[in-house]
Amino acid sequence: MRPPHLHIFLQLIFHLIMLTVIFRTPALSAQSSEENFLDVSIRIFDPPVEDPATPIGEKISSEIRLTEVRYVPMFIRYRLEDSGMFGAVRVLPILDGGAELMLEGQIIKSDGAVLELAIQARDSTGRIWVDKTYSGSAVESVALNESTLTQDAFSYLFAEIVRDLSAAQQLLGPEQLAEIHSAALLKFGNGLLPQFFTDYLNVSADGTVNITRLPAADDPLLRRIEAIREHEYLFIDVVDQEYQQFFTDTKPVYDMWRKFRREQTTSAVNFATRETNSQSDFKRGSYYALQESYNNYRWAKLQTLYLDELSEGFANEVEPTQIELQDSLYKLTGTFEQQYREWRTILAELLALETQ
Amino acid sequence: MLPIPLMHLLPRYFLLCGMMLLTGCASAPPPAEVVEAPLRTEDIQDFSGNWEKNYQLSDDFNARFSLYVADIRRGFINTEGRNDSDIAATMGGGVNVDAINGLARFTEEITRTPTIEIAQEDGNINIEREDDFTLNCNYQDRQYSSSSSVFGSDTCGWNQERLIFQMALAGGLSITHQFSLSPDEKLLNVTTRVSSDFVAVPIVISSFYERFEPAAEDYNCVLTLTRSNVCSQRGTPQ
Repeated sequence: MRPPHLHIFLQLIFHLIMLTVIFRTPALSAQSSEENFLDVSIRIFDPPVEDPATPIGEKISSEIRLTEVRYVPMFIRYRLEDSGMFGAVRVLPILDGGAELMLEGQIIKSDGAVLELAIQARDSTGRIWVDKTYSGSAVESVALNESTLTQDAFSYLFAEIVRDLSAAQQLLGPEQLAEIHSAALLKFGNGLLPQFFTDYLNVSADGTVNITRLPAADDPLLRRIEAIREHEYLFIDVVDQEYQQFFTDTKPVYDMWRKFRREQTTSAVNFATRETNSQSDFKRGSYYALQESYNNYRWAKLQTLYLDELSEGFANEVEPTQIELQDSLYKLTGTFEQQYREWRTILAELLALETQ
Repeated sequence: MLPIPLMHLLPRYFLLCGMMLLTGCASAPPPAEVVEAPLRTEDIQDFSGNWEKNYQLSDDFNARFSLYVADIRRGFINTEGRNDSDIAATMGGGVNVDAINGLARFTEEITRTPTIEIAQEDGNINIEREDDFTLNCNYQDRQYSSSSSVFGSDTCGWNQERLIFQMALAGGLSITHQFSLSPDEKLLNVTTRVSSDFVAVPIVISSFYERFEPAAEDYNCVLTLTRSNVCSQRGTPQ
């Protein structure tokens, strides 16, 4: 349970940050060691588009979908961190306009047995690193020397995503990395004060960003923007911690749901294949033949009910955590997306006042 | 309570309605066809609650079966112009008798259901039957909905104030359950019609159920995945 004063505490942090931003003269952060690493922002994934023709019993409940659109990006986030190839990796509910590398995704299919993801990663200059669909079947394995939090039946799929991103990064030279850093900062500044930053950037229709010129390294406005971004990331990190907690709390339940569903699907397919391929031993029209037909049908119906029960069990167990996360995000942000934008607006107004 | 003559007429009435509404006996599950059902325009009945069988009002299976056999004999004589000795020879011939007895035994088994618990909300109805699987119909705003599996296909939906479940199963077995309420909503009628490709005449059984209040349970139980059922005593926070 979170302390009841979290909201007040967060508000306090927020105001401290604001005061620091307003009154502090920021210094450029140490960049030398960070220049080789890019920060990654991952937006919460989009859920699959349900096929209306899917039978009711096979539909996957909204609680499960709501969980996995958070679970999958969080798992990728941990894998990216573990790779040591990237800087800070953050999971956000919205797009990060000032991200150095923005990763978006959609879950195309997820039924416990198969996972299919459409992933797109684009850096701040608009360069697409990855635009690909990853698909694979669950591979059950247990590593005794690893925490269960780092294990997943689709680990190899996430590893493939990380490999592709790492490979794309390795193709970039120091100049390109520096350009990505600069473009991210300028885009962030452009989001706050477009009137000051438009001249530095040229954004083409396909999203490619060209830096037309750079402000002076000691430009006070640029330094201020950089400081604001750092502070904004502190704020985002608080949200990110909520997602981490959500991941930790729901992973065992989500894993179990996927495992049960996998087993059920396999057993259903095996049973159906066996029954349809084998000849009935009973005389057609006899009591035993009727009973066999009815029992097979009843079995199929019970499987559907079992899937419903799995969904219900999942919802019952995860619902409090879902509510807790929503509640935290709400308290933290008061509808995060709206508040986030408001925050940016306030900062823009402050900067506009300062620069008048 | 329904007047006795009307009670005797009900099964035939339901049978007629059912036959008019639903397609004929299917010998095999029809191929799955994705056709959107028409929108439901009429109000529907609320069947929610716990129901227990009223054996006095319900068909006595043996009596019903005797009438059924008599019907078959009569039909056989009328259509074929045969006499009792022909019938005896045919019915004693093996196949038909086996099929009729098998259908009767099977029908008796699936119409025993002593209690029913019905939950109905938001375009969905769940009919939990004691000793049998739960019937579920997710009709939403439609008149009916259909589904199919390798073992059979089913359609459920509304015909005016009656809720109908029709199942066409492998081996030529077809079952229709029709649920309806008495005008005072105190009685639930379940008319079950079972037919097989191997018997010319379907068996129709009508059962009546009365509302009852189940005993209050001492525990609240919630199903979870990692901890199975989590129960707490009523009145205490979970």
